[in-house]
Amino acid sequence: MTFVVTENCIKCKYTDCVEVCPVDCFYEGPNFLVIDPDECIDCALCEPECPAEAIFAEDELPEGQHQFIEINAELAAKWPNISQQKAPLEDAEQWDGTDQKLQYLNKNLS
Amino acid sequence: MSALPVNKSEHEDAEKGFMEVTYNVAVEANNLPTACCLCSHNCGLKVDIKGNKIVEIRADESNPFSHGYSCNKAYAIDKYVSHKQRVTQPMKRLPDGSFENISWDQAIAEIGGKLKNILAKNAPRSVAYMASGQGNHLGIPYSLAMLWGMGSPSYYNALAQEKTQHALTNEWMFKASPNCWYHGDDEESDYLILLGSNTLLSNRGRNATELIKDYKKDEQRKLVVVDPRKTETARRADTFLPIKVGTDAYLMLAMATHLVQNKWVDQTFIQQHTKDYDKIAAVLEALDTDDLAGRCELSAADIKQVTYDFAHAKRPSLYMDLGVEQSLYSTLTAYLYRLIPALTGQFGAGRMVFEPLFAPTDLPPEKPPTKALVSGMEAIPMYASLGIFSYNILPEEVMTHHPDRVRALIVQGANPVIQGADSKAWRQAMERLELSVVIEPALSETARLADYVLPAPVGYEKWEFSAFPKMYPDIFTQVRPPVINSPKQALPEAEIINRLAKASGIAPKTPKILHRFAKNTKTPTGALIYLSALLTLAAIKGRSLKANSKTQGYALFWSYETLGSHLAAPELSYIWLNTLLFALTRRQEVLATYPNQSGLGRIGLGLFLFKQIMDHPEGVVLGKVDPENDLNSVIQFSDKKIRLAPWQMLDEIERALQSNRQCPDEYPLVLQGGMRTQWNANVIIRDPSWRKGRGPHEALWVSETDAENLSLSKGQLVLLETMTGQAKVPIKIDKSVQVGHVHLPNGFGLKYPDKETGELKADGVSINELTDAQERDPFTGSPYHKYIPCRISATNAG
Repeated sequence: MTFVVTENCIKCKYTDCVEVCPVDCFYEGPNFLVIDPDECIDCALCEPECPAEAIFAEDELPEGQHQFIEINAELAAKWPNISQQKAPLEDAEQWDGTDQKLQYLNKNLS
Repeated sequence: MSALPVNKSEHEDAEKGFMEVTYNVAVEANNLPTACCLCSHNCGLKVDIKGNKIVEIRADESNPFSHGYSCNKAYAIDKYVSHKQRVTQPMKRLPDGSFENISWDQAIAEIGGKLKNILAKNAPRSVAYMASGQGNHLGIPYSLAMLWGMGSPSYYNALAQEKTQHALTNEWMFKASPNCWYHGDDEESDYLILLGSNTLLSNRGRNATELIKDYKKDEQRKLVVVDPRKTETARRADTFLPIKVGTDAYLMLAMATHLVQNKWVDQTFIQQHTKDYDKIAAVLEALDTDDLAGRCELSAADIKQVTYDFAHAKRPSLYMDLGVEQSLYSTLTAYLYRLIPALTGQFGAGRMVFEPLFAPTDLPPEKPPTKALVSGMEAIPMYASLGIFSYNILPEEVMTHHPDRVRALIVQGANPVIQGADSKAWRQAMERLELSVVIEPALSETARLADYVLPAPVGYEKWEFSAFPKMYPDIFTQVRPPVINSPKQALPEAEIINRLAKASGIAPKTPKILHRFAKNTKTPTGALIYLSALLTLAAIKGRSLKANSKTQGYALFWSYETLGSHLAAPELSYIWLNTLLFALTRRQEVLATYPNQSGLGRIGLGLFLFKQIMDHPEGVVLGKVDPENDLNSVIQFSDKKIRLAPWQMLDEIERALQSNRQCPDEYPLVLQGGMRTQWNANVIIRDPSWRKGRGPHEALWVSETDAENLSLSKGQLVLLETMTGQAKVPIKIDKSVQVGHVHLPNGFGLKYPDKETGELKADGVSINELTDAQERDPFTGSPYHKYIPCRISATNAG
């Protein structure tokens, strides 16, 4: 099992989650974070930390977010590791809770 | 409580680090195998050491039990090792309450002399020993040796706060040895009922997340969760029964009643393998399942359905854990946890199993068991032949005027002022004691009140092993070498005890011949000669072949001194003895794992196993039981039949039915202490900085309805009051919480120096400031930590 970062992280990228992860399994893109499903130990520490409530256990993903399982796996393989919390993206608060953010996901390396 | 002034060099020593090696452990090393000691699963770890510090922790995939599983807490192990409250010197309490550093020689001589004196003037039971270890159990055999050597039955261990109802009901129903652990085989089961267990957070078993995931995914496997709170595990269940707190015994009674009334029992099994069915059936036939459902505030139809499904499943099992073990009627619940599978004939793989310890089949405990002076409660043997008393009754055994009262207490691997119910009663008892000695790595709350504090290394600084059984049907052990060096003056518990035993005259002089024989124990003949000589001489000196006699104590002291000097560490002599006796008494199980060793003789097999243990610090399997033969091998009644109706439980059923415990008006909520979260571990981690994230991690969880009725808002500081005490704590309003219930996590309330001011500051609530020592199961003394009537109100503080 694993935890999965879902749509509401996009364009917010608060990174509070990174601070609590005991195994440093977060990987960073320009406007999104992902969890490596093989490294995640299911400790569930990250879930309550996210101000955007974007993290879910794989078996509790809300409607319409299941594609993020694959997205996390794909991007964790190519993105660099992040193990320190940093400032959120500039307009995080405005983007928090906005619908249909998947179209803005930047899959490039930052 | 204000901070007691301690010798300032305590901090300096800790910062200077080691000055002399005890075991000559390298200060720089990579990939050393060890295990987590924060709970009973002891997940395998690999650590990297730099400058004598654990700098990197990884889950160990080569550990045969855990295969690389770990929760987040193991990664905080360094905080358990390095912190500001390590005891680095033996200390003696002065009249003004401060401590002075003393030498080991002075400490041993003084304590030994005082013990001798107390034993000369009083009954042996006046010296009590509280020995626990939290995944670090290698000192405990020597604690037992002290008790046996003194002839004292006053043994206190944390098992008696939570688990001894299992040993007791095992004894009544199966006449089982105390060296087995009965539980549901949840790994192989296809219909699992969890009671008081939040497996996803407690991480119970080999791989809790995979297990629960599999129950959820597999259509053929059903999970039923019984819990007052909709826990993380409950969210994954097929059926969730939101039971009213403290009523689990009524649910189990209802299930047993349905089985009998609907004839969903296995008549063949009952006839062949049980006795007294008619007695219990008569009781259950008369019960009203609607009434029982009403007490639980559950639907009668749901209970009936679950019972039907359980009775008709292929491999049904039940698993009960702390949520019900520290609740009302915990012994009755443990009895029903055995009755229900017995009525349906469900023992074996995927059903209910008896897991053996890594221990020989034991000598039968003495009859009759020792009774506590005040309550009359009987000591219960579990995982050893010496009966155990609960922490909660010790203060009253100290405070009583009975001439045989407890006058001296040695505490090892425990912090009872925090861990025993009613901390105030504990503080009083510590003051009343004529002699108190705390053997501890840390200056704990109990240590601060002791006459002497003796520094022990933490689990990573000495040879250690955990006695907790795991990995059924395999029998597993992991004897772990130290990975770092302890503070110079810290001595392993075994060494401290052996010195005390000599100084107090409890250990008689070691026969010289044993030194000679100890030189040649590598061959089967040499080992046999040594073992025979050791046990014979001990039996002659101890004048007994019975369990719990001085003989056992002497064998341990003498082997520590003689055989011990030929091993990597003297306390490994216990492992050597245990392994040889294990191979002698469980040869069949050993050969099931090592069929190629069948050519080895009785002693040779033991020596082979000992080498396996020492060669595999990452853990090793020693044997395997046959799940289909469990019941037969465990029942020691000569007719091999399970007793279905112990009279004590028939009485208890009546008592439970006549009672209908409700909260008093002034304390209308029920506090359940000891909730598992990701950020609480054992009280052996004292430094709160291991917790990250927003928190507040120490929060009291409250239901949305109760918060609204009391006009409380998120994070608000409330006053929590029970009949015993009060505390201020922030709240967390959570939708998983049932109305009328509130929850506090365990492991908080330890006083640690504040980062800025250095003043001692408690992180969160110490639950035992709020608990009443009389609120306990009458058979075991297990405290009702899950049923504490309370009230909460808003405070004006910001």
